[in-house]
Amino acid sequence: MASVGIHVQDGELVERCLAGDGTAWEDVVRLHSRRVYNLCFRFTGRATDAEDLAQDVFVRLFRNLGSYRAEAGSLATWLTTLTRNLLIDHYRRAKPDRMTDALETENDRGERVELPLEAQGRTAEQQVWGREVQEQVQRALLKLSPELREAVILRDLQDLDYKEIAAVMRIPEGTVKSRINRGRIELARLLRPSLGAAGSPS
Amino acid sequence: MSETLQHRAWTCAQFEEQLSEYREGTLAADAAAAARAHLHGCDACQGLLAAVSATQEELGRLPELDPPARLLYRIQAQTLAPGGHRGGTVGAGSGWQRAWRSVWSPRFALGFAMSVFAVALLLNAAQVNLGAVMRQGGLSQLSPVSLSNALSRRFDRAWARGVAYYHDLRVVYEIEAAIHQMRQSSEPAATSPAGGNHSQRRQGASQPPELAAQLQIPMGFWSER
Repeated sequence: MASVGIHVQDGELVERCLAGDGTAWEDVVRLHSRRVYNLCFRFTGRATDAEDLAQDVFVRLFRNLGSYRAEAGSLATWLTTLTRNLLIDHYRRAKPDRMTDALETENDRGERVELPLEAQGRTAEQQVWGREVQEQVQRALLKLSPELREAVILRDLQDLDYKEIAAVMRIPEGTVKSRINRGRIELARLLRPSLGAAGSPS
Repeated sequence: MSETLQHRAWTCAQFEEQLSEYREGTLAADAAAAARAHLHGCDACQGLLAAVSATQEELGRLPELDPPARLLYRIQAQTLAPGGHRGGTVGAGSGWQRAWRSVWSPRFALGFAMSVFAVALLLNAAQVNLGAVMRQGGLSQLSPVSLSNALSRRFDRAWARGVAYYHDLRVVYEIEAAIHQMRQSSEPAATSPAGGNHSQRRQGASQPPELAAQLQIPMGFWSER
């Protein structure tokens, strides 16, 4: 993801966009919309929010294409930073109804019937089990603080390396590592309540 | 040796802090040894490590979702469409070219076609022949005035048909009433009060000349129409 060759390609693609090449812009959208949408969905837990936010991300990207510098990093990282900033804004704006949101998402799962269950298992039972686990994991993700949530999503779902996450979140790599670690442990405790509370003395 | 002792004194909190690094094998050798030493004697941390590993696996199995197709159209509409085109210079060209490009996606094309079809259907109801309009280039036919004229023309015709039907019905009832009256008036002339019903029916079947004469008028009215 962080290879120099890709950055050059990104720079050329953006140049073509800026020169008025509509197909180049369509390529940008096609190449990156899936990742942006998934990041938004995993962070918000709502398909409608994810769709609105992803649209917002690309409208902003479109307006700010001129400020992209290929030598500063890949378009993907730049776009992830943009997405992350919008997600945090969205989280702050939606704060008052966040608590009810977290509860409603259980029912909201209904709107996510598009889960590709075939990928989960052979039998219907396995599929149901797979879906239940997915929903539990998604719900637990939403219970994490936004700092831990975004760190875990970027590392474990979007496969960014520590350096990229540090660039996206604008924090030192050491902090990234510790947030990811704390996020994973909290997630494990949320999914397996029998483990007990954090930091129990021994 | 004192270092090893110190490492052996790792608390659960210390282990937790390094759990991911331990799992990923990125701890320095002595720290890794200390982690193993703590883990060896701590069931809670063993459980936590297993739980984190299982959670990692579950996270990895969360599927990547397909964004809805309309997301791409929404983005295109917000960026390449003339209205959404503000900051960048993407999609340069004449305004019409850009508008056409944004319209010429299958989704919008289909929507456009459906709209044309719906309008044509409505115009047809208003008795405006779209083909004729195109041929004559008489777009004035599509003005609200001519549309409302066409509609009122159509309504007038339907109203006239309704009125005619009502008239026809009235004529039929008038005939029936006349027949009934004739029967009534001819009844006193009947000499057999017994079996009146039968005689009445017979009389009705063989119409007296007066009735036939009376019938001539409405029948003539009927054939006029």
